[in-house]
Amino acid sequence: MPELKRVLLVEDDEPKWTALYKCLNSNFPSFDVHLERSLQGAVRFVRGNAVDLVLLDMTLPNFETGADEPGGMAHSFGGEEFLRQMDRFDITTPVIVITQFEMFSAANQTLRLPELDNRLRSEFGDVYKGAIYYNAAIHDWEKQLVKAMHKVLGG
Amino acid sequence: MSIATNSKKSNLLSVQNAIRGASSPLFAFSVNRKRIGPEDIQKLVNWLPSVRRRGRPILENQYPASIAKLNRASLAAPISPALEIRWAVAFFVSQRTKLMSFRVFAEQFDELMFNGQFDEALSLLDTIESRFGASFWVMENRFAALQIAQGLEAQKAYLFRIREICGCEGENTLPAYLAFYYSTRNERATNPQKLSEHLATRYSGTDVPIELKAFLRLRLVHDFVPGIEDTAHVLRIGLTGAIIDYYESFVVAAMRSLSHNIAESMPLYTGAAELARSISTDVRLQKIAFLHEAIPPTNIFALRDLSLENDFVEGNHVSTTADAPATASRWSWEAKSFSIASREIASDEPYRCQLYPHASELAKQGNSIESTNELVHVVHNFPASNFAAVLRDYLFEHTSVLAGPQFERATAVQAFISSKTLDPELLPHLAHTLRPKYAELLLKRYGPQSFVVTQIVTAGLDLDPLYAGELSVLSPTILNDAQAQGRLRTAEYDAAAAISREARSQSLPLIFLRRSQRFEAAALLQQNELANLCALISTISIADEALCALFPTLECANRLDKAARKALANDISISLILDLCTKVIDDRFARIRAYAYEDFLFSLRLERPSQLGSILNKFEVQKLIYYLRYLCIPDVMQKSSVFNGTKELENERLAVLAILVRIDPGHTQSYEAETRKITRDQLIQSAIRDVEQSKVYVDIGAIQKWAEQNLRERFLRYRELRAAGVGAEKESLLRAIQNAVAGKQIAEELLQLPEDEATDLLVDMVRQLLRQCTSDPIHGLDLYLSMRIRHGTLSGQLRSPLEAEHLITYRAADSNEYMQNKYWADRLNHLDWTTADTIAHKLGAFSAEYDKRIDRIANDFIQIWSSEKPHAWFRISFTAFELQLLASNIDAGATFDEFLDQGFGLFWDSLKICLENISKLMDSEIKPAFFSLLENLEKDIHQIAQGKPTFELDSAIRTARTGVMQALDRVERWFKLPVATTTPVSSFVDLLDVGLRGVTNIHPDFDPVLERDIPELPEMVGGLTLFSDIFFVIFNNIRLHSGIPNRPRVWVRVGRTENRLQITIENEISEGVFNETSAAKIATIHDRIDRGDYQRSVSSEGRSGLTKLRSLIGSDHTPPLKLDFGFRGTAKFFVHFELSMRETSRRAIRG
Repeated sequence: MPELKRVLLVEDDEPKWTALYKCLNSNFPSFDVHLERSLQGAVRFVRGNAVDLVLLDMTLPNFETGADEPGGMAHSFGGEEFLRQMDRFDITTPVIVITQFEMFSAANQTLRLPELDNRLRSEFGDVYKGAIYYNAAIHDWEKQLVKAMHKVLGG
Repeated sequence: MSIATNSKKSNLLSVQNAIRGASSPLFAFSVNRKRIGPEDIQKLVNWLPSVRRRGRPILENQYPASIAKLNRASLAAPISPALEIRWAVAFFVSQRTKLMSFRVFAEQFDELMFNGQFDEALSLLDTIESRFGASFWVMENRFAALQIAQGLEAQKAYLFRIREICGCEGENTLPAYLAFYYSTRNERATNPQKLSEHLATRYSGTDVPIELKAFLRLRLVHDFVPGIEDTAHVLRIGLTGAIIDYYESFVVAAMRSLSHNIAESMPLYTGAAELARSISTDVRLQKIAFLHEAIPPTNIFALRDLSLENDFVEGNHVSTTADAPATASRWSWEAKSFSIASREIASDEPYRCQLYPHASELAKQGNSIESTNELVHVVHNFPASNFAAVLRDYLFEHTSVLAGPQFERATAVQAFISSKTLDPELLPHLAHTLRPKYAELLLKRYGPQSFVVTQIVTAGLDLDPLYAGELSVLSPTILNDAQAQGRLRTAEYDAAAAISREARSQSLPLIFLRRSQRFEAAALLQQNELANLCALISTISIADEALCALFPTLECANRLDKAARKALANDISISLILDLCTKVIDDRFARIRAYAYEDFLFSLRLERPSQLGSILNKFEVQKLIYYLRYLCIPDVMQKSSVFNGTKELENERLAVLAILVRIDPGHTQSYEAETRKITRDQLIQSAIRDVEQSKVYVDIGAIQKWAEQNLRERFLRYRELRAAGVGAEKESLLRAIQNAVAGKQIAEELLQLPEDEATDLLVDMVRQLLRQCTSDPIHGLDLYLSMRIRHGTLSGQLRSPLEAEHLITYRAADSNEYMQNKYWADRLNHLDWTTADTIAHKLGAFSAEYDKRIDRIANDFIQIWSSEKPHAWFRISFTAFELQLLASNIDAGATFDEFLDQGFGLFWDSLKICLENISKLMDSEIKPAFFSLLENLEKDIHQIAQGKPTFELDSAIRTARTGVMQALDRVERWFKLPVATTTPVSSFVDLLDVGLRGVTNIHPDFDPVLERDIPELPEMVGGLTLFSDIFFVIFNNIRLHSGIPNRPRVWVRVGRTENRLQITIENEISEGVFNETSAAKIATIHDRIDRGDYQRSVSSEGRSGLTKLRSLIGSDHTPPLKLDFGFRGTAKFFVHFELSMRETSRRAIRG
């Protein structure tokens, strides 16, 4: 089992982050998990803090939504933008993408998850460690995530 | 050898026999021509006219009796491109007399048009048609001539006639199709270049037959350069049509291919050279042969009088007059002379002279939309004329970055081919291997005239010392211009940049200033001097953004990769270049523009642009203003992780605006207006409830931007058509509306045309707008439904209550089977194993059913309606009545914004209906279905347990059921438009504060001491903008004119009658503010308002704002609302006014 690690969880959907927390708690109880609910919050955190691993959602609001905050621009490929910003600031923390989408749409492009996975691998191969499809009704994501984390963090 | 010859002979004879004996000789020719060897093609073609059927020549389609008969015959069987070209040449040779005669007419038409003799030009077209039959050539020119000479109605009437003829005479769609686009291209509101690009995209589809694709591209895609295969396809279609179209297609294909050095088209050039010997009056063929044969020494081309050009290069810029001989080639020099020695153009001067001011504008600015549009229309609508070829080159030279001096301009080669004379200005644009021979020819024929010498220097050639003395007669400006270009052509970039910079140390006419800047930019680019290049382009373009398109801005942006941006992070020009490029050229740079914006701040150890306020003097002021004004905007800053939310972004923008007011006072009004808008929007936003709860959203702002780019031009077309009385007949409107409502596609099939242009245009615009609102993948409703609801969120929300009670299990990823519920199997260990196991399985089956229902809601219901999603809840549509209403509101005088308002109105109305229906469906179907699912689960458990106790499980199911119903209530709230809990600014005090904040946000030092005497008032409705504008004017007046700029005392008193407020605002003034002059000024303003002059004087009154106040309060009430103002003694100023009042009401906030 890996020793104490700091994990940044970037996720805006409450049921999903609850499930991810639960999974991390039961499989990596010693880990320090920090949650960010927006793209910019995540960029800010990763710029200011040392992190061993980022678990990243792909579709994200720009800012954390709240009673007075509509969240700004919605990013279909917010995770990709996060990876670009990491590259921009020369941050090399490994990243695992966990997404509820099997297909992604943006201007003039629709991508399936394997295609997006290829694109991220070719563009951010040094830090990007793969994508996991999350579905609240399917248990499999949990196994995949634990396996991927072990592979990335060792142990 | 003899056998082969006999065989060929017998082939010729056998083909002739086959044609002669066939019931359809033309068909027999089409099928059998491939059997003819190259040496017999001419013989067969010469023989064909002797074949007649029912007394008529079989090739009568070459002189069609009617437009409807154009290109109706079947295509001949395909043969190799080289052979297709030989067949074409053979046909042209056989018809040479007629073609020579046609070319004489064609050149006459050119001259008549561009000298403004429109009636004669139109009747010449009649003559050409009567002699050579119907043709696309005549049709295309007639549309253009009618538009210029008689206007839109006349050319639309011509279109109508063609469509009638084509419809009556057996549905020939090709002429009607071309006519439609010729007509559309000529409309003033159409941008022909964009239309050409649109059609190029359309024809790139695989659904278009390749022959038709090539044919339509050559005719409608302006910059299409055919390859040899394309040419063969065009000629194959040409063979079935009018001989003059066949011939012109051949020449145009050769001209375009040769000017772009398409090597594979060699047989075409050889064919043209061969043809030049037969059709000697067509100089274009001679020119093609001349270039193809690598500039042989020849004296066949006429010389032109170079006196104007010589004057120009010697600095004698005498503007040409209408009396100068009309020669297409010299037009660009006439236009350049005009741009320096400008004069008035009389309305009766020839058409070519009417174009000088536009050409001049382009030479100076390169970006005038109106002037570009004027010339582009000529270039696209008279594509085959000599004159248009010259204009095309002129346009390209002055508006395209690709026309950099180091390039060989294909348009210059085309202009040369189109002209009748030996043109010196071709020299710099020839391949470098040909330049010495051509220079030699020019010197031999023209002698060392100064214009010729200039072209030699421009081409980068060494001038024979014999002629070096001729340089001394050139104007220094021209010599610099020519030498800079010459150095660029010989790759001496340092020298080119130095000459250009040196030239600008003198005062230059704008036309030469722009050129020298472009030359220097080209040299810097070649040397990859990014910092200097960015500095140069940004310095020039910040004054006029569109100018950046003339410089290698795109190339520069492309080179600003991560490493370059890091190295140049502290250079303010970098973010400016990326912004210019994003806005003017290509918006894919928006992301790195935002990075560059922030990198610049980080390089200064700053995080926010407002922190620049203390170090303003470190930067070039104009660049800093540009940076603050256009880059430090929420749209860019939101990509910075420094900000925590929208409000912080807006506050930062307010701080930036306050700086801008200080350093850019010329735009104060604009900054103040933006400040007021942000302040108002923040108050509205603060009153919106449940931002988080509603998940229904459409990014209307982004769609407005999309509409600006994609619909504005079409809207202007629509308005112009309506103004000309085209379309909008009630019947066609109803038909189009019915089609639209029925979801039928309109005019999407190739060659299918709209029945009524104006109506179809309107309906299509509305459909596109609604489609964008619903289905745009980045800004539309579907994206937000997908991101915020469908993908996981709904499932998470509805599964949570069951997960909390451990009632729901997971699906196995590999088998899709739901696991049995082990938790409850263990908890029910007081039951027998079989019962507990059956319950555990039942819970697994229940989980499957539960998730299936969630999936159905997400996949079938929370979707945009389409034929694939027939049960979708979001069916954004409109009724025929709504569209009719919209059509009647959008008349010829409507603005684009009004159209958008109406279109968005349709969308919101339709969405509102959907949301109301969803609410009903949630209550009537979804909630009962989930309730009964859980109720049935409880019953099933009881049945399985058969009376054995399952209290704990029963309780869990009931708790979960309550939780699910609550979750469904939350889901229902996702489908409500955000609603203001209170009116955005509900109280008078709030309104007063908004107005005051509009001033203090910009002028933070202004901090008046307010004393209020305000009774309890009902809430105001819909008056946010009005009130905030009024109070802004008053407080700004106090700041500016009280003589106490920081903390004046201000008293606000409010009284009330039944439906009016009486407001009095008094402020203290410093000593000396009241004097005779100020009192007189106030009296004058009073007088002006009393006379009713205030509406005219609002913009000219200076800075008091009092007349504006009168405008804001309004004058259409009975009795009129009062406005009074003036000094109270020497220590106070007052403003007293009335406003009408309505009670507040709740209102929905859209978007």
